[in-house]
Amino acid sequence: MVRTCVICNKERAIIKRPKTRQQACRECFYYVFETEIHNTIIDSKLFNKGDKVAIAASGGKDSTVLAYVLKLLNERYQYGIELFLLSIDEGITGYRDDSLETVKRNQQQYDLPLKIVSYSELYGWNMDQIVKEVGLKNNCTFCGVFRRQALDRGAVMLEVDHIVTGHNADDIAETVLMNIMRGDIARLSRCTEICTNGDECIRRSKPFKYTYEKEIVMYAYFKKLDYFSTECIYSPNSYRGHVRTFLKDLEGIRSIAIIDIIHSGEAFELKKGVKLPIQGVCKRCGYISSNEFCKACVLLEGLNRGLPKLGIGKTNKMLKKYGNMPEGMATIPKFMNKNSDSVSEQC
Amino acid sequence: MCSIEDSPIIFDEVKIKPEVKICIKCKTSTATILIRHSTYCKPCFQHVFVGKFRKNMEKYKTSNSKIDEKVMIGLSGGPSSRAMLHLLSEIFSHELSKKQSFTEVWVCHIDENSIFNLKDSTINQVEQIVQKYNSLFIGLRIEDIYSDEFTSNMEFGQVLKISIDKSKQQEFNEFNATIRQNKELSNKEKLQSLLECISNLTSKEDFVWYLKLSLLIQTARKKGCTRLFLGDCSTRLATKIISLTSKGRGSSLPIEILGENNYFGDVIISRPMKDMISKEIGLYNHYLGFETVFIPSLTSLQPSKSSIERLTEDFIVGLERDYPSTVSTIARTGSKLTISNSIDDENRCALCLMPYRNENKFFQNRITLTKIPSSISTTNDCNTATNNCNDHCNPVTVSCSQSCCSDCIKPTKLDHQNIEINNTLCHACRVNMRDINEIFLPPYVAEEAKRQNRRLDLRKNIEEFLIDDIDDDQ
Ligand SMILES: [Zn+2]
Ligand SMILES: [Zn+2]
Ligand SMILES: [Zn+2]
Ligand SMILES: [Zn+2]
Repeated sequence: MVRTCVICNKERAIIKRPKTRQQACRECFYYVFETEIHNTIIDSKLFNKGDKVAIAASGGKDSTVLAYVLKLLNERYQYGIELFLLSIDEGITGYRDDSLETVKRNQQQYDLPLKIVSYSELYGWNMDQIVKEVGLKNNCTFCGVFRRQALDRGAVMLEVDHIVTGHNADDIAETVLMNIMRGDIARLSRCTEICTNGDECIRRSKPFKYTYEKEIVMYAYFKKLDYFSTECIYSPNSYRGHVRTFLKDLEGIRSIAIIDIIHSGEAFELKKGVKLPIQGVCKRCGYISSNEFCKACVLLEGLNRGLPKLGIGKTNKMLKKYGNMPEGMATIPKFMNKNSDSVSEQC
Repeated sequence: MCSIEDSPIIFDEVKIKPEVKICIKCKTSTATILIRHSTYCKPCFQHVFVGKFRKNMEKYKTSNSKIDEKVMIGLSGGPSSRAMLHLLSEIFSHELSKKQSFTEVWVCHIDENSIFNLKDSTINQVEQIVQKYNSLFIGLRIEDIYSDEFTSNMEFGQVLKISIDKSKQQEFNEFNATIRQNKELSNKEKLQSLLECISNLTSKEDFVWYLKLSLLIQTARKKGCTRLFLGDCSTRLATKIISLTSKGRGSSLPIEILGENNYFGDVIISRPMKDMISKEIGLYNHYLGFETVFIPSLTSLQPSKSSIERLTEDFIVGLERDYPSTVSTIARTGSKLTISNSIDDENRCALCLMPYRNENKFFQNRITLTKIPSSISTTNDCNTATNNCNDHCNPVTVSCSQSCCSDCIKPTKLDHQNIEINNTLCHACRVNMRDINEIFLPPYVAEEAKRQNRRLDLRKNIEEFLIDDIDDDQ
């Protein structure tokens, strides 16, 4: 039996849309996929004309599709933005070196300028070395914290106003659940924001906030986009793994659950009097931080002093035992953001 | 892209060395009980358990309690509510001798057996338990919610019939809703047809729970009780926090999990068992020799992935085994949330009674397209003349299909009255409605839907004189 697309009621359906479980033809799927992203961009007023926007490009499916779709929508709807590719080289042999090749090909295919920032140049350590030092238990913490800063620093080098990342609806839903389960109230109230723009840091947004991971894969597959599909060889800890499996099972029961979780996350309101950390600036490197020193500086100090647990466990207790950082130890270069001169003054 | 950006997860590692077997409370007796990371002897365990309960009760006394309060205890007969009945009764008898603070204590049990077509009733069993205490008992059946008396005016003799036109072969359907006289079927038949016509267990569980909650609140009101005690323990609350989040009920979540809240106005909901995990309760009941009543659930004997509630329960219980702070951490997160001030008091769902955010409907249309605008679509099945009916008769789809439009224009049949329900249901309930064919909703829903429709009509009349402050930010 030939199934007809329920969207156009004309063409033959070739897919079942993961988000709605509707049967759709190829063109209709492209159309709804792209338009939902466009609606998200317009409704949240993500871009201004003339914005310089860096796409955090890892070579994976999310950022590859993001680069493709943003270029397309920018032309179709005349956003008037200037796009760049920004890649972080974490230094993971057999994973990042290969995926960076994909990014370089994407640069050719989409004709976008590319900037690569490496952990080694910024921190003096790559992920392979870090894993050797800290083992496989907390490696994702180092990688996540370092990546966040590296992106901001790369953006400053590119002189862009805005970073977009390929975080999709599944990622955000997973983060909402993780934050509830870890009791991280500060992050819980922030993690569903489509765009974060503090004064000190560069605007950062997630145009795929409502885009399902499975549909991104589907889009890349049918559009035959060139992406790197290997998972990171350093897989996350088992707790997050459980949450991820749970989310997939939820989606299996009811596909709208992913959006509903984001929805719920947006509706959460904190009781008055619940203390949230106050954002300040790291005294060592000038990056935004709610503590005296930012997480990256503490993690790096731990690595350099041979105390990898320094940034993982109870930092103050460790410092009491081992003393403060000795003079002359390598630190992260000062963070200079043109948008906020006040930051550099404070440093 | 890797989405992990967070700080490390620090779990208290379980560090109970085999030689440490002394109770951490009295530090003399040998410990026989392990709760999370603490070891207790039996008397100390009971002392700590009762202490947690008393502490919560003290809080209620200082915050919302009225003098000479009538209260109601919701008693399913399961372990947690069974323990709560005992603990509350101890406090009441103590209290009564000291200061008359609770003048009347009702215990309400709702028998759910007709959901499962079981002949036996749980009412007798529960009544026997209650007889040991100095309380008044009221036993109801879940289908009683279809009685005219469980409504605001206590005699609202109409029900709401909702059907979905499945012929359109769409994921997102439109509802046909009509108000009818409440006489067609018996209460039990209406409940059973409701359950038969919901194809999905997640939705079924949601319906059953909110019917039960409404029945409890209405009963408390009828008896003049200003406080309703529910037996949710922290294991249950942690499960609810995750499952409600997953069902898009984030804005009403605090009402369903907080230790105390007065959202329902005249009936305060209290959950004095909120700090005990199910393991503690099981032990406590065991030591005191309490019998509990077996209550089947819709997902008993079903696989884990049969419903969101069931999946979440298995997930939380499983995690708690490996990470013993899971339940307490989730419960603590939940306790820091509050009901938003920005929620309009009028935006209460007629079915689940919960508040919802107004913008959801529009927002959903923008991020989940199910139709292509006619300019792009080659089949132009929705012409401009019918476009204005979009707003009120079309729940989720962006453009309108022919039959839906003609439905609105068609004159209503005489024996029943068409009613618009999209504006009276919350997002989560509308999602549940996708899984139905044709159902009867109880009089209380019909009553509220009618009331809200009247208000909307009134609002339309004065709309041009209302100042909308939503766009004032710019
Ligand atoms: Zn089509
Ligand atoms: Zn720093
Ligand atoms: Zn003891
Ligand atoms: Zn509802």
